[in-house]
Amino acid sequence: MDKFGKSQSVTRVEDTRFLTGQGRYVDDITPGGALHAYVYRSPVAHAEIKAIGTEDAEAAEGVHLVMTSETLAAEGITEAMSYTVMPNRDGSKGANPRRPFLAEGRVRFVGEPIALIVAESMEQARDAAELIEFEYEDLPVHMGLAPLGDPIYPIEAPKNRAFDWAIGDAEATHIALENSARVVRLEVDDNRIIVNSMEPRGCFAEWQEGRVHLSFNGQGVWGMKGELGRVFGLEPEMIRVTNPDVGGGFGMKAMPYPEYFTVPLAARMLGRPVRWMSDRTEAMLSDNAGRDLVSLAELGFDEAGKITAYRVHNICNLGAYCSNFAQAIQTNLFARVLTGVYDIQTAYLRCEGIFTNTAQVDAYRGAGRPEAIYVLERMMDRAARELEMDPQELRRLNFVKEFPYKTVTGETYDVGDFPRVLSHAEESADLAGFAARRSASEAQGKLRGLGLCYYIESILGDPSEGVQVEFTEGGGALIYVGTQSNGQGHETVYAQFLSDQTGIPADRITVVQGDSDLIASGGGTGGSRSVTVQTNVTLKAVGEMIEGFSAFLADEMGVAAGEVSFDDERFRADGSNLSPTMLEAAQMAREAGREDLLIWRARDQLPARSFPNGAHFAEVEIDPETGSVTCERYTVVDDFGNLINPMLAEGQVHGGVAQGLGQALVERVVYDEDGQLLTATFMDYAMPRADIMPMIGFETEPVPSTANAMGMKGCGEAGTVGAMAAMGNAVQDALWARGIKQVDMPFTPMRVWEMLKDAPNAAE
Amino acid sequence: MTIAFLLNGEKIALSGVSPTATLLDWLRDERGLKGTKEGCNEGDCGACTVMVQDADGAKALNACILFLPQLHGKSVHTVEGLAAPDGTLHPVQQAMIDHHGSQCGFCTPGFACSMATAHLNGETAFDDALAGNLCRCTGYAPIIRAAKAAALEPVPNHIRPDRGFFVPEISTGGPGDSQSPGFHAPQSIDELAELAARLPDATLIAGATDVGLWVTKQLRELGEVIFLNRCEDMQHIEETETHLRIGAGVTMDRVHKLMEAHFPSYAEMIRRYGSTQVRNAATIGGNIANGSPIGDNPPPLIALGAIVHLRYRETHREMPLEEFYIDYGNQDRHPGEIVVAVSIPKQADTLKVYKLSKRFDQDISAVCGAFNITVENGTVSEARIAFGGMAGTPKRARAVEAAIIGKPWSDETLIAAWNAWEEDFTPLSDMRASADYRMSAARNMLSRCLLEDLGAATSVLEVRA
Repeated sequence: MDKFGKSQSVTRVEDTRFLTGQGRYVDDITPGGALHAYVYRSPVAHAEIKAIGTEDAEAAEGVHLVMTSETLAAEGITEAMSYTVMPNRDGSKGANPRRPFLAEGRVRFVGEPIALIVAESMEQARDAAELIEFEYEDLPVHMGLAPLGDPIYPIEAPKNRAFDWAIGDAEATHIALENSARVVRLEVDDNRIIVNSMEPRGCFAEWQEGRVHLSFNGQGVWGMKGELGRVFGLEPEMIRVTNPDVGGGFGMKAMPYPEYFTVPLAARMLGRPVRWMSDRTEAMLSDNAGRDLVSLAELGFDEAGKITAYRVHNICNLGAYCSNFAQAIQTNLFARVLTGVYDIQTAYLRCEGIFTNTAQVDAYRGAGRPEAIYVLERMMDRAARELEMDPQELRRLNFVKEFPYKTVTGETYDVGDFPRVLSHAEESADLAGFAARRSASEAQGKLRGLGLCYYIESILGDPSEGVQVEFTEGGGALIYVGTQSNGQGHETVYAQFLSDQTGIPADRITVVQGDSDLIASGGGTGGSRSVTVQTNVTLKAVGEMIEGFSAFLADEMGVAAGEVSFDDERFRADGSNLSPTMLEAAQMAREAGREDLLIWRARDQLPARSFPNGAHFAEVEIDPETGSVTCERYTVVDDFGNLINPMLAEGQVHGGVAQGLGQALVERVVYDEDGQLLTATFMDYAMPRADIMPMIGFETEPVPSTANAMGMKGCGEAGTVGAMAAMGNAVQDALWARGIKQVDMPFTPMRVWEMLKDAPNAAE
Repeated sequence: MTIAFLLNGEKIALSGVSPTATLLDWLRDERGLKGTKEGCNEGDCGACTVMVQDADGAKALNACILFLPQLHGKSVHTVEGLAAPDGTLHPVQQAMIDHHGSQCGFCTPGFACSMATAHLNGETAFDDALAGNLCRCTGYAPIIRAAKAAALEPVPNHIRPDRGFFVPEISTGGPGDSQSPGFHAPQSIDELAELAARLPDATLIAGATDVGLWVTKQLRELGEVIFLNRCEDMQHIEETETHLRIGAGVTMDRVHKLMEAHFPSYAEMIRRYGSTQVRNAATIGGNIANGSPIGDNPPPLIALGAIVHLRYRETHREMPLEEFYIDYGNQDRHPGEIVVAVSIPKQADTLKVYKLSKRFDQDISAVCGAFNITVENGTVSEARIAFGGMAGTPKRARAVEAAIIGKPWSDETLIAAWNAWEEDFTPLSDMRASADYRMSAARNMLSRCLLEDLGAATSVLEVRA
């Protein structure tokens, strides 16, 4: 048996629950008698708070509490939201202005929480919110993505710049670019998106004898547990955090939000459970947004087309407050794959983080890697045009070919075979037939373009993870995991993997996740880490389990310990008729009073990161009369290493591509000049729909990772990482002949039509 | 007043409920049926979709904007009621598992109900049937594959409608029921006419696809409400030798089917009118009486010369539909007067309808144009042209009509008519389109109409802003 298991497309065990309406999400399991919380949010983008009149709201029928920042202070809550701060280029620390749970002194974006109203019913809470008298004095609104304008934090960030960070050798890069035969320059805009998990955010909290239970729809429970300890001054054993079924997270739900503190406080003050669920517009106003940066990139080449140096200057939007990981996204995480699959040892990345009067921006599927690959692959495409080289050949010329390869930003790529993957993709995408397809489009007055993105991403998040396997009296096994499914199918994959390794029938295995009382620690879901880290540690536990049972069975079988072997189904030893399965061995141990053999715990750390990579080819057709862009063909060839469940991996890729395609074709966040969000319902924010999605060809060309025993690479974010540049380059290809050299997402008909209208080369 | 319906096969009789309680809230809060999800609470995402059957068949509806009184006499299946009583999964449920059509599972119940409804109806245009359901995880293709795979499987018995139930065997009470103040559900047009006259300030609720949002989004107290769904005699479609008469209570999915036979271009536009769930609830009378300048029915109806039928107690009035619209928010309807029907004179099909919106599915029109142009020997003999989105009301383009009637049906005529457009329209700029854009689009629609007549390739599917 291979260490990665049998690689079968097993259907999902959680699906029966979801398909029959038995999925249980946070708003489905609120405790009986829970009070309803409603958040009163700022109606203006930037203002000095003059007064928050709560008397009428407090007196309203059914209202138990109206909480403001003053209430927090009175309750002894002095802490605020925490976040990572990046260092500046000059060695000083980046700005770290306070992000309060409820507005203090100023409001800084439309949707900022000002007060929490708790009432018997939702209607009463909402009615009471209308009675709050919010008096304010408008301040100038800063919306531009530039370090200037009226300051949102006059003291901490007088130019609205939170940090000015860099990595790499500025001087060497400058010199290398100066000395390059050719330098290609492009400004690349990466549009802001709203994550819009179908289940909006929500939580409930209850206290019993000084112990708090917070249930929220997140991407792991332990980070939040630590945060509650910090803010409420509680010892770990006094905190329970749970995640029930979660309706999509995509990075947005990985971070703490103010409500996860104010709702527990309300429950403590009132001595009753309190529940809160955001509605759709509220989610659009207050969830962490994604992307939203502009990059100026320069790529130097020698005469032969070899890259000499790469320089990128990002200006990224943080919103009005720094969210948990916001400062790290377009800096550290962007840097992880700055140079992609190319051999570039001279590079420099600078990133400035800008405060604007908008909702905070943080991780969205891929978090920094889609952004980095989008810039780099748009650059490679542009370079091929300016150097008049074939885009695939230019990439081949510059591919990293020897492994392990240490990148200029410090990553070590363990393995890869980029030329092989690319050749496979060229064939699957039928590049040979493209010219004919383009002619056919042209015959109908349409423009056709082909775009390639060769992406690489690194699996991130905590490289260590724990597991506990427990044999139950009923003749099954429980596996406690530290990751957290947001819909990826972990219940199936982990049971399948444990079953493959131990022979325990998968339907006898129950996966337990998302409860800090049952599982001491874990890393949650994020960074495409889950299946790799979790199966890695499971493998370790299984190894110890087999060793332990072998020793135990040797006594039972009357043979030496070294003579018992396990063949993935049964323990066997020469000279014994006994050949128990793992479950039978566990039963024998139970009968023998060997409780120590019934619970197996392990913790392990991946020795190194692994690097999923692959080629996406997008083919688009544009109607120059309307600017309408359709994706006609889409081909993916991925190197994910070994796959446990190919069907679920394909599902991840397909969904990831849909999110990339959505950002490229339709999704657009619009704030007006006063900071009001104009795209705050599904009527106005364009979600990708079935009609824009092509059927996606998905194949793999595995080069097993050497960074873990299973040879796996992770697949959760890869689809998104590859899709944006493939689409951007395809649209650029279609429009190039018209003399259009600046194309930025989203490629909505209006935006493309305007590009065509102003094009230097009119239609023939 | 009692509201009686079947819920997953179980008889339910409710009295004393708030008339504006939504099915979604009732299912989740009162019945503990948590499978039906709230994704947006305004009918845009489909996570709350349920299957509702009555004598007319099965429909997918958004439970978030469906008031309980609208369910009287119907049979509701939620996601919990799709599997057979013995636990055997419905074919669409099994297909969703087999094709990996579910990831996070939150939109899944809504998809399952939409798919089961399409399955029961033998509907195979899955892109249309599922256009009202949003998914963020899968990219849709696996769901479409699942729908196709399930299509060949037989409809399970427990999903088949129980026709017997629709004869209300439970007392339905009467308009004077003291337990439900402000809630009326007349059983006929006669009753409705009397009631509306007596309560001229009451809110009339038919499909609730607009009024539902007044409640869920604007938190409005509606005061007295009159539900129209029990006025069975307002839901008739009558075809005479000269006219199609459509009762005000006829839902848009039925108008769609009707127009497929008579005016296919109108039907094609309706395909993009809301989503399946919205078309299944919305009524043509509601769309007409609402008076919105961007309603999508008035332009084709005006172009077809439709007559609107009004009634105040025993007084009947009728007028050409374009005369019904006086100003923005102002229709020629007296307090207490009701719209009972619209009738369309029969004619050869010369109607073309173009809807321009920012996306194909489920979007509000920037401009909706309808062209009813008769050409004899190359000359325009008759023309009725009407637009939505070009003025404060749905409006006829009389100057343009005058400029082309009697002229050759040609580019030159359209160019000569250029200035007539400004006599007819002074469109507004708003979030959906600028005034210039609207004017250009309207002019281009007439060109498109000409090109289409000349056999050039045009498709309503391309009309995206």
